[in-house]
Amino acid sequence: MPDEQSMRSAMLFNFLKFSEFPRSGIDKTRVIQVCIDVRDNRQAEALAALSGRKVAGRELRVVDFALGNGDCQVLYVDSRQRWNALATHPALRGALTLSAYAGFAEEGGMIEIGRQDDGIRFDINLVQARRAGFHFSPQLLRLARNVYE
Amino acid sequence: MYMNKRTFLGAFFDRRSIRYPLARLIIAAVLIGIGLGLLSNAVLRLDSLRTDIQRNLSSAANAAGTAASAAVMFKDRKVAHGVLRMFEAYPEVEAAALFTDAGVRLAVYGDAKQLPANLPKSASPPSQIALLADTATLQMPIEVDAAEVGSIYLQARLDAYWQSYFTSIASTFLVALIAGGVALVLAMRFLNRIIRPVRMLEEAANDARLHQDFTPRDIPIADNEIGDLVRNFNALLSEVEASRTWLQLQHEELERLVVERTAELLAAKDSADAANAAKSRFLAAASHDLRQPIHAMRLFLETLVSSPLNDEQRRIANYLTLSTRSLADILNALLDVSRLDGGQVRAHPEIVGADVLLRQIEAEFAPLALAKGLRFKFFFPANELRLFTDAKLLYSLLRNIIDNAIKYTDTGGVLVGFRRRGGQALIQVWDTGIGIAPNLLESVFDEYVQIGNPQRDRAQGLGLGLSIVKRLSVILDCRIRCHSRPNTGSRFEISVPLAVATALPVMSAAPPTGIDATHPGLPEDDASGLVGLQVVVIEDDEMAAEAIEILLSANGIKVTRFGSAEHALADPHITQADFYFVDFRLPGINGMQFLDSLQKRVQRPIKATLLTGETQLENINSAPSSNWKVLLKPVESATLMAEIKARMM
Repeated sequence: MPDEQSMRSAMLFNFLKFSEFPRSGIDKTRVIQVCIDVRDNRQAEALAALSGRKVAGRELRVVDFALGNGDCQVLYVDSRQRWNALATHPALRGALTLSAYAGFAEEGGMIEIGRQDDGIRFDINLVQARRAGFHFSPQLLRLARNVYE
Repeated sequence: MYMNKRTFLGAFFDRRSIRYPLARLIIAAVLIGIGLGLLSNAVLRLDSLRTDIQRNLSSAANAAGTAASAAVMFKDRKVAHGVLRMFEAYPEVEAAALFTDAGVRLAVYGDAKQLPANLPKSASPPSQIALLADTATLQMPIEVDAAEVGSIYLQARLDAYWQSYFTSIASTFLVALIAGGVALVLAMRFLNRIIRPVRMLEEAANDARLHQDFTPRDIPIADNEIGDLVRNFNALLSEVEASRTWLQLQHEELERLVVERTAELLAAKDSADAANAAKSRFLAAASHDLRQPIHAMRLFLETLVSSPLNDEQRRIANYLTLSTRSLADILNALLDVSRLDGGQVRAHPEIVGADVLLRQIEAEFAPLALAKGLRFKFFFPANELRLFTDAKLLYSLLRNIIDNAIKYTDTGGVLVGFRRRGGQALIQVWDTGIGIAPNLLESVFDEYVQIGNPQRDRAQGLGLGLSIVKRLSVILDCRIRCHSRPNTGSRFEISVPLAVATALPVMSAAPPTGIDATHPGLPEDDASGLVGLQVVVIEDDEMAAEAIEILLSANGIKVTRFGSAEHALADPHITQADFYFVDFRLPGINGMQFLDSLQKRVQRPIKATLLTGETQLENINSAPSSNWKVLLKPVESATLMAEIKARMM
């Protein structure tokens, strides 16, 4: 049974598979830069393991937000604190935002990964996603516990 | 002709009809066409049905897989299950399942028992759909972004497909069958149209043959091979008609010629028959008239010879006797030829002993040969040789040959032999006479051919002998051959059938031959017992009557003469005579009628003899039937005396 961090990491990867990035933000590069801002090292390792894998022909590159060049297509934060600090950061304009803390979707995040019963569930804030130019496949939306529109 | 009685369809099943093989061909072609069409249709449809099933199932699986891709990826059983419920719209799908990339079953649709609990990660190739298989299964990977995230498994019932497949095949078959039937009927009608002129041609040929009608027939023709056939047939009919007309003309001409020639031939035959009859009548009449004077002459001569004469007179009288005998012989021979030619003589074969014939020959010819100084010998087998022939005619034939042999032989002798050869008796007459030149052998049997007697010396005979022999051999149906070398001698051979039935009685003695009945040769005898006898002679020929009277009177017989039967019957004493010599042919009633009426007057049997010179068969034949004895003229005096003596003593 994989641990929770790995599961979150796998989910992030899966979300990317069902997401359509805004054209302006991704056309220039063949790389999807996933910026993470987490304190949990295990979580960071699980996410870093995604580096090199490909989504729609683009290679994932997982970087620490603080160490990155600020050009993020995906952002993963692990707490409300860090999200509040980064929410308005200009480097994150046009990035797909994910977090696992409860209330993330309601607080302007796009995909909130959570737990319910024995499985992992997620909520989608479609308003935020569309504003940033993201589209999600209906199959994904169908799986979501809550979709905010 | 027989076609007319057949129905449209029946004609195609008549094995004799030309339509039969053609119909078979067409039916076979149509059936093969339908069969091949149906088969290829079935195979192609099956193939396309399989593709359709594959495609349908694949697209259904694809749709479900795509719809469930996120659920599989996120392992959301509930959503996955919800996605599978879309198969409710596919009634043929009886079961379906979704598996994660690890092969774990995530959701199930339909009967879960039929589904595998786990699947190997690698997708199996789509299963082949066998004909009439109940179900088909399909396993497809679910891919997201070119990566396999799980798989979908489908199981579908195929009976609906098969049902539609067979319904479609059946309806195709039905349509093909109808189309085939229509094609068949059309082909048959077309065939009929092709065959029709041929059939009409056949009927025309039959009609021409049966009714001998060779006029060209009006048969609708097209410009094809059948048209050529009809044209040639009509041309043939015209030629036959022309030939027949020509033949008919030839036939009529031939018939006309036959009728013409037949008429000519009949006329010629009638003319020949008439001539022959005239000849016979003339000969009969002439001989009758000749017989009378010869008859008289001989009687006179014999009376003269028996009277006292000096030596010179006797010598002359003897010559006269010889000459008269010669004359009588000529007459007899001529009569023989005439009778034989007239078909009046028939053979009546019987069993005859050769010894009887030999005795007769010896009695007649031994004295003649002796008188000429010739040896006269016989040769015959030790066993009795019995012939089956007419004894009288055969003897007559042999007489002529032997007579000739003695006649033409001056030195040496004559040998008569009987021998057996095969189933026949061979009678041979050898002589050492003058012989016959080879070039004359063929004509030796013709009338008046006398070999070595070109001067036609009467003393040498008449030359009629061998022509009589030839005629007799024809009547007796025996073969006669002549071998001869001039100045050496001749050999005549006669083949006569041998008697096979030994049980029949052998003729013990042959009477004098029929045609030589005037030569009985009875010896002179004492006539003293006849003195004082009353004899009536009825004869219209004065000379003949005179001769008989002289002869009878010389023997002491009292003679009363009448010139006609009427005169005789008028005599009141006519019934009192002891004997009557009556000429057959008399003026008024004939001799036979006279004797018949005389017999009616008296109770005792009349003794009489008819004398006749008749040679006509019907006249002669009627005489014996009346039981009156007949003597043919000329009658020698000895015969006349012997006759009266035999009857009276």
